[in-house]
Amino acid sequence: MKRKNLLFFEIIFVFGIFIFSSFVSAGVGIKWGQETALIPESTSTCMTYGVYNPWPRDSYVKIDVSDNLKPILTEAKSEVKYVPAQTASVNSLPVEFCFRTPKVYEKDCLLFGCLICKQDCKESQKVYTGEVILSESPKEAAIGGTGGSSTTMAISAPLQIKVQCKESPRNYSLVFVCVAVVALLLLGVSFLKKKGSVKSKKR
Amino acid sequence: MGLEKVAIYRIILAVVIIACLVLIFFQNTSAITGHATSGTTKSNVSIQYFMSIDLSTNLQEGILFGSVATLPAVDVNASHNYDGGSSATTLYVNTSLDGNTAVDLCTKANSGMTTSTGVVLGLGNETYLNATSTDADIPGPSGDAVALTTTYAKSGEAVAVGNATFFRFWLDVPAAQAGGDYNNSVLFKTVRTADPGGCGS
Repeated sequence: MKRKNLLFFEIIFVFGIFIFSSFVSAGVGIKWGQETALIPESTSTCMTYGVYNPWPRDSYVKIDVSDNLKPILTEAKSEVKYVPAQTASVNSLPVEFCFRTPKVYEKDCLLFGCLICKQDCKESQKVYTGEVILSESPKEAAIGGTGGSSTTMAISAPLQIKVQCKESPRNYSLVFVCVAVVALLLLGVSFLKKKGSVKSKKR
Repeated sequence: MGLEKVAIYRIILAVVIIACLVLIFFQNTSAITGHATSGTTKSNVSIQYFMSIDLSTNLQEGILFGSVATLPAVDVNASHNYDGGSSATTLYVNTSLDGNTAVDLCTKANSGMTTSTGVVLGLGNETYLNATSTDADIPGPSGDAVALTTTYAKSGEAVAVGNATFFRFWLDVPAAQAGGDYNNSVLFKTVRTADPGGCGS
């Protein structure tokens, strides 16, 4: 009987802790040291932000960018990160945020729009301004039954991405390759002809 | 073709091939420049910002308006508008002491309050006020409240580290509003004070 009572109190205790923990606050914190980035077009880059949680409950956070940065960031990858309670800013956990800049500058090409090209970078530099947003990972909706608004918190750091244009002279490699191949063929034909004429003379 | 002519022809072709290979090489390698010497010393500074927030326990639960039995209803209080000591609100956003910058607080809703069947209670009916302190009258009165919108609006400016921003929410329900459970999401976002982008989108 005593053992049953003990088990009952243990269950109540564990349940009580579970209920209490759900009412203790969990927060989000971000640490950053870079607000502008100069990145060449078509380049994969990773930026690191520190996340911390000086509050009494563990939290899960996710890093993302604002809508005005999304069009230029292809293949953006981020992950949900677990941040233990009482993680101070000095012990912030690094979260890597990787993305690839798209091609934004037009090349001047002589053939088919993609061959024998040059990049003279006459266009003005493309600059995209937005923010990196650290938010709570989606939690279960607490609202139901009587109606109301669920709440979410986020914290953001400004980010300006300057897409760098790499100047390059017109690339005639294709022309040189074609000329070299033709010359090689002609040389080959010339040797074959010589071989043929030597054979016929021998007969 | 004479033997000499053939030889010359082949030499020319060979020269063309070699020239092409050389040109391809130079086309695809950067130019070689002379050496320049100079003396430099590094000057380096790293400026870091950090900030953290959390929502009060009751605000994390959500903004609850309970059941509204009589329509029309005006300024229905959120359930935690006055349940603190001295009838203060218990809906607030904390700014951690573990930060090195003042912050601006921004608030928006994802949409009007909507039932699971898609009936909408317009966002203009959900209003709020914010303040840097709280008692029975602050934030207030409800007549001064502003409606939530789907774009971020500043709801706290230059909040210093360790301080809180207090909120009260109210709801109006028109007489013709269909019955049902209405829900939406309210988002609280913090930006660094003086962030040129402001609250963002």
